[in-house]
Amino acid sequence: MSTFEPKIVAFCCEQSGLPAAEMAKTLKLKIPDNLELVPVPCSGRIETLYLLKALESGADGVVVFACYEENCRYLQGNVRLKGRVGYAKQIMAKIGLEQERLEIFHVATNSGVKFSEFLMQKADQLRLLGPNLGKIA
Amino acid sequence: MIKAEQKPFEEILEYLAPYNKILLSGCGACVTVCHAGGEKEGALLASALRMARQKTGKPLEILESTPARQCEPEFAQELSDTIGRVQAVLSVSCGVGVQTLARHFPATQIFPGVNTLFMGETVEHGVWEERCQACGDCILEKTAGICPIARCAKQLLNGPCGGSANGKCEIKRETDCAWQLIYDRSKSLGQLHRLTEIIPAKQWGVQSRDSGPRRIVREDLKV
Amino acid sequence: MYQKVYESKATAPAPINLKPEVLIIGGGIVGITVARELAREGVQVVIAEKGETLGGGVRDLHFFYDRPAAVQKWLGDLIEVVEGAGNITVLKGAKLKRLDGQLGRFQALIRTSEGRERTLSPSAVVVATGCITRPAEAMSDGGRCIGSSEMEKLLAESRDLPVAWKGQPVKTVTFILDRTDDDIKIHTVNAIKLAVILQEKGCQVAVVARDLKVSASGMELLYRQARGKGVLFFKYDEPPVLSHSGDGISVEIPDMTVLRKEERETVSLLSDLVVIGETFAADPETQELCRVMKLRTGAGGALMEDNPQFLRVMSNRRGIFLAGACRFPQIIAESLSEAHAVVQEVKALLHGGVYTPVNPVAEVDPPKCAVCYTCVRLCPHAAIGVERYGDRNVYSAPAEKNGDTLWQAARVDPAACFGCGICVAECPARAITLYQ
Repeated sequence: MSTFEPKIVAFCCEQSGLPAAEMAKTLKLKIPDNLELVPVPCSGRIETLYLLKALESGADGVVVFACYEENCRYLQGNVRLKGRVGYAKQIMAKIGLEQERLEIFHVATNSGVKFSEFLMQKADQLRLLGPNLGKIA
Repeated sequence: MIKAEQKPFEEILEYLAPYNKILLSGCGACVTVCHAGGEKEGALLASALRMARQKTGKPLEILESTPARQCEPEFAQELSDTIGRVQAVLSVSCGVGVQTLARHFPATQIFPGVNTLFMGETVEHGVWEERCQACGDCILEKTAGICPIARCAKQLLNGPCGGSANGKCEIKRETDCAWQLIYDRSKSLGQLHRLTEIIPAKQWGVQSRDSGPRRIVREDLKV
Repeated sequence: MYQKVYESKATAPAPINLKPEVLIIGGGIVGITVARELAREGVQVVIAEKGETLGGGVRDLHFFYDRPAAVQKWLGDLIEVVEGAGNITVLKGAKLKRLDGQLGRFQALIRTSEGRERTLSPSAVVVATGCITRPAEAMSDGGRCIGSSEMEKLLAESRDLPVAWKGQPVKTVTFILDRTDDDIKIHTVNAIKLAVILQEKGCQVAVVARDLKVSASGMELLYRQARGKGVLFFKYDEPPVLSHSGDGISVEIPDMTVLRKEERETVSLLSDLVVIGETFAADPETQELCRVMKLRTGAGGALMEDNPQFLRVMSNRRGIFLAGACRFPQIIAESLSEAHAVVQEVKALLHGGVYTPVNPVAEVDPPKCAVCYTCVRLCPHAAIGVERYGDRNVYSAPAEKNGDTLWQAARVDPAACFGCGICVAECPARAITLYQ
């Protein structure tokens, strides 16, 4: 049996992802062990470089918890994010990293259960995928 | 300004295959403005290269630097210490910047990270289009400020070809016919008479690139 | 490095002084209500009305649905108060030509119909430009099919007389709702309001609607009152078919009270008059206004609030507020509650005479800026501009100002920044930092 526990970096928009994460914590829902939360004021703050840097410096998967589209506190944040994630995925394809290692997941403040379920599924998926071979530990 | 786009990733990996420590040099001017080689794009490329090389088991160390303009000797000189510590340089500035580094660092391999495409303007955010081919003898005063050299696929100087249809070019259907634009703008400016003047064929050999690199010498400015 | 979303900074952005001066664009019911309320608080108010009279769309209304008062009398009194108030200036035939600067430094250039120009420096701007109505689509020959406001006028003019249209008595009236503007409740409110009056005058009224919208205070009661007085209500899925029949119009709809579709019979409503609500649309001038004010537009070109889940009267720019039908056509009572909400917001903003920017705010490192305009174009709050030191706007030409060497570079106005970080993430020179 493999002992590989994938590291997940989860960028959390303070308007949705972070409250969802806190809710999951309060409800004592299962979340993956090797999880790093990075709160951001808006998913529009996440640079394309941050997505790559997270992978480069040790993440096996990167998840962005953002608000639903047309629901952004700052109007355009999650729209800009979508473009950047698309660009990051193009770069990942060139490097030869699996597309599943980066994903946007739209949540609302009360999506604690969804938050936990998605991360557990992501961890399972990454476990099957194996470690990110591009990371520089 | 000069517009460029990043070279295919595999191509860049191939140049860098023999090295394990390089400098990735961006440029803070034109390539920053067109999101091809500024600090942000440079850092993205560096991160991607590091990961790609890590995957193959041959890690690559990359130093990053973005001088304000790579095409000035003083800015290039600022890189000399860093260049002393690396085996090669990947420059994501335009072709000019690459050559400035090549001239100043004769002992170092300098590779281009972008393809320099054209001199163009921002049509909308994220879209750039060619506007000038530096022919060396501007005729924009005759063509209502729209350049047929840069914008007509056939570089026609005296009106459109027979392939202009509904204002579009026959070579690329989505492109506006430059001569249609010239006609429309001349008309709205009340300057149609200017189009009756025949523009003589260009002396490419003398004024332009056919006779080698062009040079501007201002004796009064020389130090 | 990906964890470093903010940088810390010891010095907070400086507070911005706010004078108690407010510019209101639009002299309709919302504009004048906001003006009156703010003037009472001692605020200097300027109303810029594009027409030559105050009152806006409400001038076409004669009856409230929820109180007996006459609308025009009420409006007239309100206009009198506003025009007589010492600290309210009304500019008529006025158009906003420019709006520069940010909260605390707004500069508004207004041109009036006589060609005179005025420059104002309001601390807040309220947009209350309303909407326009298009005539209801009549039947092809135009006869006996009138708009809701025409019916309203007809009733106002014949208060104590039997209802007559072009000299002919009117005995039966059918209101047809939801042919357009399916999501607006004004038509329901007006139709039931007028139906009650008509019924009281001895007419037989029918209201034909896809869905009656009674989600306004007191509307359920009014509906019950109408039913009590004998107004007939019909629901439809497929639009009713209109045809001429004798001197009137026959409105045909399937009887939806029968559950099985195949058993439904067609009901034919013989009407002396058919009333159709006018279509509401965004004023075409809104587009130019939004360009000048850097505001967002939404569906159909109407003004768009910052975020429907937060305060609906906030625009995407700090210090600019929206209210009334310029956002969405609504009944007077609702427009007025938006007007009151704006008054509260403006009072809160001006309270204390200063605005202290709230962190996080973004800041550009001028020497690193390539002046590519990425941030200026992307800022959803129009908080970024390129500062021109001196008259020239030449890339990287350093200019002397107050002894310091300054660069031409983008600058985020801390008073207008909401701290989302979109510019920080997009800057190709990585020249912008989000400070906490």
